Amino acid sequence: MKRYISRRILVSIPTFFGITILVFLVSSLASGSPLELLLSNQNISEAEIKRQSIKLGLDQPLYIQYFKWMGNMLTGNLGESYRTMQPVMDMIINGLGATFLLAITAVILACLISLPFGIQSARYQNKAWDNISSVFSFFATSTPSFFLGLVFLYFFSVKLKILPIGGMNDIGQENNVLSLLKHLIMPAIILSFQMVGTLIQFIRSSMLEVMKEDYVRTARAKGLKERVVIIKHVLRNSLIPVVTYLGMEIPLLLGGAVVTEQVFSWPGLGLLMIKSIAARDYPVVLGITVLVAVAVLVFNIITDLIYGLLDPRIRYD
Amino acid sequence: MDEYLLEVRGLKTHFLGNKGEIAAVDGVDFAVKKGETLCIVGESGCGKSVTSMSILKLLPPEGKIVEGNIFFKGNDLVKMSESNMTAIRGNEISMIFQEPMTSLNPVYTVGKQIGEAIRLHQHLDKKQTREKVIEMLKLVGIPAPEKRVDEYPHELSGGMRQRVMIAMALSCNPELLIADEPTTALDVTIQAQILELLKEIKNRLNTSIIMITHDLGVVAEVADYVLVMYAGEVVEYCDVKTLYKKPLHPYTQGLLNSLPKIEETKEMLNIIEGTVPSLYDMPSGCKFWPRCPYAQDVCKKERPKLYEKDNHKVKCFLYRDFEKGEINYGA
Repeated sequence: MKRYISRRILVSIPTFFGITILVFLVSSLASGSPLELLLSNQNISEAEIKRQSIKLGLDQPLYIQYFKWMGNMLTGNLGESYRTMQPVMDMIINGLGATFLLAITAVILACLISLPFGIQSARYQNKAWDNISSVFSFFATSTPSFFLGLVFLYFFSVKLKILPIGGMNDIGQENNVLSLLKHLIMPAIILSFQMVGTLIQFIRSSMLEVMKEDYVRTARAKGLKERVVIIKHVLRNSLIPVVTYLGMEIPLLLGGAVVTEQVFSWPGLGLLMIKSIAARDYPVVLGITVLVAVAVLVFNIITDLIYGLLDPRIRYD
Repeated sequence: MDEYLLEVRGLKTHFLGNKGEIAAVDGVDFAVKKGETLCIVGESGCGKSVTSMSILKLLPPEGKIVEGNIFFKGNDLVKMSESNMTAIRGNEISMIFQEPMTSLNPVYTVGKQIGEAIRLHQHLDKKQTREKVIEMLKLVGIPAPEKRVDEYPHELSGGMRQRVMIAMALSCNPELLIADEPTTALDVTIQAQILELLKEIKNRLNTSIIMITHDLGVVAEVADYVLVMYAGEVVEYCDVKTLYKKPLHPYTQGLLNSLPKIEETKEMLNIIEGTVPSLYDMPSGCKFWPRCPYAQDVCKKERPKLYEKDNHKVKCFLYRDFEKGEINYGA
């Protein structure tokens, strides 16, 4: 087990460097330079722009820029934002807390909603429950979150005035948990919605598959109640596709739920990403992208380890 | 009636297929006494397994018992509620399945799976359950049961897994054990061991057994009574010695005839001509007439009854004067 984990981590290292090279290259190919905004201003002289360019290291050849960036990153320094002049690391850590809270809440909500729906629709296949949850899940998957977000805002914030319109806290209430929850609830629901649709379908089809297994018949023949058969024998064997899906989804959420955070002005990495792209603030964009890459690598390993917990036939030696 | 542990009367189980409703079991009667072994024999698709699943009411959602009674210790299982059924399943009637490789849940240890039934029906605590599981594993001849109890099914061989299934089925001392082709998936030496084990257990615990098989060798080995099924119906029902000595139904004769005999040196084996008719497209009259060497006009038009003499029942017009004493042993 330990050997397996260390081997997986070792394999991840070249992957990580490969990703950083790609990300760096692509960003350098992107049209628009951080100096463009300065260039558009007639009052700024050529000499000043050149001075800025040297200051940011943009006059150097690309590979030198990469090695500098990489070297700094290994010491935990992701450079400074062109836009705010703050260290990128601090900005990411600031946003990560908010994003993490939103992502985890959304994932938990998604599981809490989709498990009962998925289980019931597998159990009562092609009956009323199944049809209701199928319609619900198609609705959830196909409604864009910006639209649903605006509908929620309109009803709960504008019409009913029971939930705040955006942000994470009321001013001066930074430590008020209740206020935080009030701000969290809408974006979390919207974010979980997309996952709910997919999860219901995954749970349903995976359970229907398992319900045909001989060992489920054995479990019934033992005299177990249907509820016990479903939860202990069917569900447990149906979870692998669900874990696979969550293992791919969570790292993406950690990179920030761009649309949802934008709609609800949630101060997470998604909002930071949008602002940074708009301002051609490459160090921040690169930093967030690298963070997502690392999250993907880490969650791949975690997913594989969870497979082993779910199914004893999977061994790591 | 009271002397029977299980009595099945006029059982009809239908399936809702995509081409309409089919009669998988079409009026089956039989009875099992305490300590007796009944073998149900027949080709694939003749309704053997559906009959056994009907007894435990473990039919798939598209299957339904439409007629008949299944009396177990005097109570009709057909009319019994699902919650009362769960108290019987695995406790008073338990079942062993054909596929030991897939009949155990891969994610739980053997001990946990056997223990589940014990805890459910006998209300033992964790430690007592574990002791009982080890005792059961010992009973079915698994070496080093203290070690095996914590292993997962994939760590055991097919024969060991079938022993685990038997241990599970016997763990609550059932009065009736239904074994659905318990040895089909195993190789011949293991087959013999498992049959030996079942016989030994039957003698020791006085358990009644319903054994479903298509292997006439197995029947000769374990049965007291034999029920021969064809296309969802009983065609012959008698004790095992009579069946091998004086098989009456042309189908049974064909089955026995098709066994290779050690004294013969023929190249070709004897076969029964034709195939089992599709359940969607049953012939009128006797279901066996298209394949029967003695088919008469009446066979094509009318359905034969189950004629009986001296506890030997047979569904064939050749024996319609059976009850009058005029026995005509066909060919």
